[in-house]
Amino acid sequence: MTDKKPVVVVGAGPAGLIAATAAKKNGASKVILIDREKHAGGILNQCIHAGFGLTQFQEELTGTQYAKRVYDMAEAEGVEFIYDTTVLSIDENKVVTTVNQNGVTDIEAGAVVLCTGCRERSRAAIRIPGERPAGIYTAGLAQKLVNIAGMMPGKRVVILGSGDIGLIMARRLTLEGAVVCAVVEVMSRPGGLARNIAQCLDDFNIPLYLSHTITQIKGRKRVEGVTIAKVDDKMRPVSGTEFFIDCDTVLLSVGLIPENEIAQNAGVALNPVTNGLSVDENFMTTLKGVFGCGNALHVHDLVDNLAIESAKAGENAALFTLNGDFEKSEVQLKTDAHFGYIVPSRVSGTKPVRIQFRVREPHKNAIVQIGSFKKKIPFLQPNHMESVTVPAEVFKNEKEVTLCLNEN
Amino acid sequence: MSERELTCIICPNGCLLKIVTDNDGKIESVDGFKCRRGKEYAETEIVSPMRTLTALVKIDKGEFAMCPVRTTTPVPKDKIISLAQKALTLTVTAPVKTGDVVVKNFENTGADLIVCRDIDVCS
Repeated sequence: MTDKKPVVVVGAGPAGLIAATAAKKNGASKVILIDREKHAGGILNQCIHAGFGLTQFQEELTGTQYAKRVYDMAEAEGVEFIYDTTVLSIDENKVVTTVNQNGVTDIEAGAVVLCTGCRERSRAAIRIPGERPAGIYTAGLAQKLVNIAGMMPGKRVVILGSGDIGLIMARRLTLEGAVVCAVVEVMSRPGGLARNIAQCLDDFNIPLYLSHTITQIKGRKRVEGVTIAKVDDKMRPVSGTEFFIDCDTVLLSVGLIPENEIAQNAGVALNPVTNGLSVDENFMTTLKGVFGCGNALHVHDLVDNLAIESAKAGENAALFTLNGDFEKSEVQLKTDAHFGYIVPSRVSGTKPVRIQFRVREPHKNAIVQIGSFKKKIPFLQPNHMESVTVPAEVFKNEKEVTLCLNEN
Repeated sequence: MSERELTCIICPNGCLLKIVTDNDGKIESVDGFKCRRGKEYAETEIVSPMRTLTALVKIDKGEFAMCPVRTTTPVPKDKIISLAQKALTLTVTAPVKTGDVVVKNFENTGADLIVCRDIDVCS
């Protein structure tokens, strides 16, 4: 029994490109990949720095080079692309409603894969006091301005947040001629990879202020400077530690939030902690035949890991159109307080599962345990998504299994 | 004899390398790497640090204003800002394809500067 309805993939960033390729490879009769931009590539189009595909292709590619690789693979596989088109909604029958210059079109899908990526957290969301001068950008927007439009956001920059995007932009702005005065991080540890601290900050002697935050942005029409203060262990500014940095630009790199309006409006369950999709071991959401992967599921550090997940999601979407539903995933996966989250949220217990998770604090040589399965992991860090393949027996006949961590 | 710690930048593992050098600055030992590339990185970093440069050149008639480029091999770390600034003075013309050579042996570094994105003519 072959369902002639297509697999529809929403979003042609790396997750969508890889999921679409896998869906076609695994027997889907037709795969349609929809993106609101005029090109595939998603966020990779503005990632002109290297560090992509090290594991997958054994080469250190730039984001744009990696995007081309996975786009070429999708094209070669016969994926059909629809650009400049926004998906407005999906319903419980997997009808995908789209809009573009030609009007509104409904596509009846046999399966849907949501690869809608994420958005940046804004100044409003973190409430930095001050007026509303020009010169305040989220790091990703600044990246787009510099790398695509050729516009510098300013001349003297302070960056709030030491996640990878903030670090990458510290380097990019320096290379393109700005002065990056400081990177300010509210936590006591950097948010991004150690290699990025080295090659983006240390290489250029850019100071990193850990356990500090911006308490005020000065300036009426244009940013004139920022007040920075140390914070205590509850992240509250400590009176008397304030100092002022003269600058005309503030970049905010304060978090990415999965973009799941389509899912939410369709009544699809989200993980309340991450705002990512809640999926089972097949990457299927709570809406049958609707799958999710990439940053819409959980925010990734490395595209190579996203590739593994997205290939599986695409494969399963194809299998769903060919064979119907999978074994019911009714075993709930939980974590103890050491972890931020776990993907998937539920499993069937009939096959091994590659679980993915993040810890809240760094741990050396800790043992992660789920049911009877244990694994010692030398270095666990919050900014490093971790994965472990767990045998099916661990979940069999259980209602709920908890991922725990034992310090050594 | 002195000891130096640095983070390897070759892959996302970011291994913490401990390098011991003698009084002449020659490397006596390297520890902390998980692969051969880490050891090689340490050896080069002490003597003559190199970095892959990713930069921007201008593009005429293209769909976007800027064309991302990279060096094909690493270039001296201490020249990296001036090399990026030099790239900004260059202009290519659309259409360009990933891999097109913008400049051979860019500023005598031995590395070519190549295009990293297919960019069509602006319609």
